[in-house]
Amino acid sequence: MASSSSSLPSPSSSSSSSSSKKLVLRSSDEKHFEVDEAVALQSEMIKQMVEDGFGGDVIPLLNVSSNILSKVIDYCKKHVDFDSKKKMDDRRRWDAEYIDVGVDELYHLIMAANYRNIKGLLDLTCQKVADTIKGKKPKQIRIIFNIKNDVTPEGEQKIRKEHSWAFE
Amino acid sequence: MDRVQWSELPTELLAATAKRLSTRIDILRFRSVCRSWRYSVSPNFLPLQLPFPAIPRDSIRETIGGVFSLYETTVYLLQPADSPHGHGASSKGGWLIKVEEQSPDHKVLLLNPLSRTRIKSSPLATFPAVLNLSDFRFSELGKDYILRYSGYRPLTVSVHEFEELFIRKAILAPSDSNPVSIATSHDYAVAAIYRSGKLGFFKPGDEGWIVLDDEPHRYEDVVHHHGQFIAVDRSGRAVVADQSSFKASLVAHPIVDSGVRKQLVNSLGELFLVDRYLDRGPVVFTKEEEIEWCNTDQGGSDIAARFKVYKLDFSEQKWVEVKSLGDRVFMVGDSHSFSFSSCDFSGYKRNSIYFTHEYLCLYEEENGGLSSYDVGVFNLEDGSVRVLASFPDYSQLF
Repeated sequence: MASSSSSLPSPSSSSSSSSSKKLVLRSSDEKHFEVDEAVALQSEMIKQMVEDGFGGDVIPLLNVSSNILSKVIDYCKKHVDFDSKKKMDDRRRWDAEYIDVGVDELYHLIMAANYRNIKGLLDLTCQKVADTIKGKKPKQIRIIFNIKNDVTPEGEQKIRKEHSWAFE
Repeated sequence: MDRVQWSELPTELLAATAKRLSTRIDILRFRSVCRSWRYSVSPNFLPLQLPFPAIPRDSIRETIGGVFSLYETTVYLLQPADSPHGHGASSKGGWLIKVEEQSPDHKVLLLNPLSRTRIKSSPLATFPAVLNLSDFRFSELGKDYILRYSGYRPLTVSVHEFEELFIRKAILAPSDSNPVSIATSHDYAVAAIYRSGKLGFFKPGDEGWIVLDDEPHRYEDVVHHHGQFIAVDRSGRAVVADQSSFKASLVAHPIVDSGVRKQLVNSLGELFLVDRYLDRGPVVFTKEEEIEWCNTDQGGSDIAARFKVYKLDFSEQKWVEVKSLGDRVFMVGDSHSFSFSSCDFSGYKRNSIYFTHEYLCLYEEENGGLSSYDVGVFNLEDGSVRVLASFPDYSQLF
């Protein structure tokens, strides 16, 4: 999927049909991805850039590595497809499989979705985090997400109070 | 791949995630993970203050003034955290409790799960005065809302006005399934049934309440089901109203030969209607304390004798009778109904409806707690009705 920058056709030289217009995205590790404009426009950020006239150049995505970018593009491609068909069940099934990833990858996806402003992917990733948290205790949540407990002793005291029901 | 720091996730993403947690317990736990997570979401509690009176009529509003507040209570199934989850566990005990959690002092009021009566002293000697939430697993079974009026000038109202002014039941629907930040986000909708049986709606930003003008229908119950309000009237006719425009449209035709009281129950994503029928006769407790029905005309009271259960068929726009609930247990309270599986919680009879009945209130317990005689149990299998007290282990149930 990633190609070297030298062999890329100029986006402006591609077919004049708007449906097959291509954009080129560049990841933080300098890999280039050529995608249909419709796919790239799933990102509100890129949409804004294109509207502002940056569409003809390579669009740099400084915070997104190539492996995450390729995963994000998968999502956008699939959802351009879904949007034209409107099969909710298929979409849900595909989304569930897509988001079945480890917490590190999930973190990068959520950040990429936020940075590039892709609403569907942001919803999906936040929901995944919430679903992972549901029904678990703070200690378990910290282990899963590898978070250090930095609550002060006074904070602990307050939390302990929150976590008990004193019946009136 | 870089080492990731979940504690450094931007606040707006943490908030967006917390928004998708649906229970208060989960929010509490989310806030306890680390400092950045804690400050990304505030532990807002209701009450929610709503304009009073709940009618779009300015003249009365001027004379009465005041507000009413919507308080939230939650029914939880509380089970020891270390009990085995898997199948084959011999006992799946626990408590069914209804609580009103109050901020900011974290005092909690214990209520009767099937009514709005406050339990002032614990009915069980074994029930602790302070409960450590981390010792339990919580399953949220439903929410009931309590209205409290405040700040209005007392005035004489006619019975008719009283009926038009006051609300019998109100439910709250968060617009984005976010139960926590409702009070601050102004992103919610309220549906209410007045004492008169009219149906009203309110959402922030609206001038006042929108009251459905569809006389002579008198509504009996309203629930929130798949993002919409569904209300049922005395005949069984049901309407659906989406929570932004509040435009009501028919969703079920009346029931033929219907009973006297209709209550709605959400169960496993479907909507059920529990219809009760009364028989006339004195209540007699036999040795087994089973209620016997004497169908004579020698007086006595009307008592709940049987129930019919229907499931809503949206495409056919009708209620379809259901003969069995399977493993499900329906709890049909005074103001709020919920359901659970008897497999998850032993002690309850499967395929049964637990209901409150005013005519069964023979005894009032001094602590204001649950009188076992308030609650009847209807078994769909054999059509029998028993009072809860006739089951040997009833005292362990609530």
